Amino acid sequence: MSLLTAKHKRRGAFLAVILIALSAATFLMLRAFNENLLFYFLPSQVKEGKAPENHDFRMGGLVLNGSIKKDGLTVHFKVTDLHTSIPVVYTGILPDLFHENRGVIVEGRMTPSGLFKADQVLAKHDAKYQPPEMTPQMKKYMQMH
Amino acid sequence: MVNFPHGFWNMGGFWMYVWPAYAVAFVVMALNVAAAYWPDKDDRNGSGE
Amino acid sequence: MLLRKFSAPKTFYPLAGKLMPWFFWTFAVLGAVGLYWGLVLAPVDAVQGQAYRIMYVHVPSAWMSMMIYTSMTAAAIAALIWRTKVAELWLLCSPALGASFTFITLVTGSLWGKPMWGAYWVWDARLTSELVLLFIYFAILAMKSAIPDRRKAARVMAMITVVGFVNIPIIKFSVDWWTTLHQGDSIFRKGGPSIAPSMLIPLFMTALSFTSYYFWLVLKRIRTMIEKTENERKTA
Repeated sequence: MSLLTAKHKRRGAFLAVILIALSAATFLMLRAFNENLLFYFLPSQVKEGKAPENHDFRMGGLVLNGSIKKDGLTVHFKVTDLHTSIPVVYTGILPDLFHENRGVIVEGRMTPSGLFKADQVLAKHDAKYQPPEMTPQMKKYMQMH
Repeated sequence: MVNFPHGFWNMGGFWMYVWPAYAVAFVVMALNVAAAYWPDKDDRNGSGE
Repeated sequence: MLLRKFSAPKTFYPLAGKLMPWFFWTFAVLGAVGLYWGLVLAPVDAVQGQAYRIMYVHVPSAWMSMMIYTSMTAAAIAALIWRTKVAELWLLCSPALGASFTFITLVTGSLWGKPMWGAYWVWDARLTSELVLLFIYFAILAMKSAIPDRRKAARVMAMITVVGFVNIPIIKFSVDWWTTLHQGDSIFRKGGPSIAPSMLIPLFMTALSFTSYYFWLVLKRIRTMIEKTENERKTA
């Protein structure tokens, strides 16, 4: 008994054809849907008018350094992709990862004045996991214990 | 403990999110052990579900 | 032929019995040490605080959800081309475990997402493709309970498994191909892992523990199924 008789070869070839056809179909489908698979637009794309105008969309980038201004629950900040930055206003509770110079995704719409009114703010994680740098007090604590 | 300035059981967000996450994983994994070792007598192919 | 010999249920049965305790103890010991290390000894994350500790169950579960599916695809190809009995058994016994790990991945991920991202769930490419994986597992399981004859069930399950495999590279590379809320890979990336070693070692421990857990239970299930087939043959 051989491992690859004519019967096995026929079954294998059939399987290979199905797999190749399927991968090709999936590839073409994903390419066609590429735009819709984008979770967010960058500020530059929004400035170029690539984002939808009549309904809500998401914009992602970094929170511009020094741009956060808090006024009670309302917060003003700028989202930047290092080329263009767009001012955002949001009222509500911010996620733990929301910080200057960190990734953020805002959901809402552009007002005619060029201000983005966000209904939701999502913070993006940068895939880094590090312990905090030890403060002098912590070092002292560690030496004591 | 240096990692938990407020004590292990009071660590921020532990009861809210970390603990439930581990509880779900533990229960699901325990159910799989039960299904593998005490399979349903009536099931047709004896694999447990 | 050696390959043919090992793929016969009669030889596989005692081999599985010998391997099971090894997998069980690897699972138990590495699981206990990894969890204690990850939950208690590992330092707190500079940005995420305590919530990052969810990663010690979330990341290994996500790996398992894809690893189990890949092993099932290999088994499916062997079952379709050579009608290998052990491959069919592997295929029959794996999807429940794969679905369980996919479920754990989704639930623990959303429990991390709420405090960190600010949402339990978003429809980005990574989360959606992982949810699709859960539905594929359900479809495979549904075939298993719908078709009483074990070998026929295995063949239908094999076909769905092979077709559904296109989803696996989509899950893996979704964070590179599209803009997603889900972060990119922290471990298998250019320039090495972006996780501090004190946090990374327990992650590898729980990952190895989960892998052993899967092998332990899949072997147990296959043995039960071989016993059952033997009994049916005797009584028939």
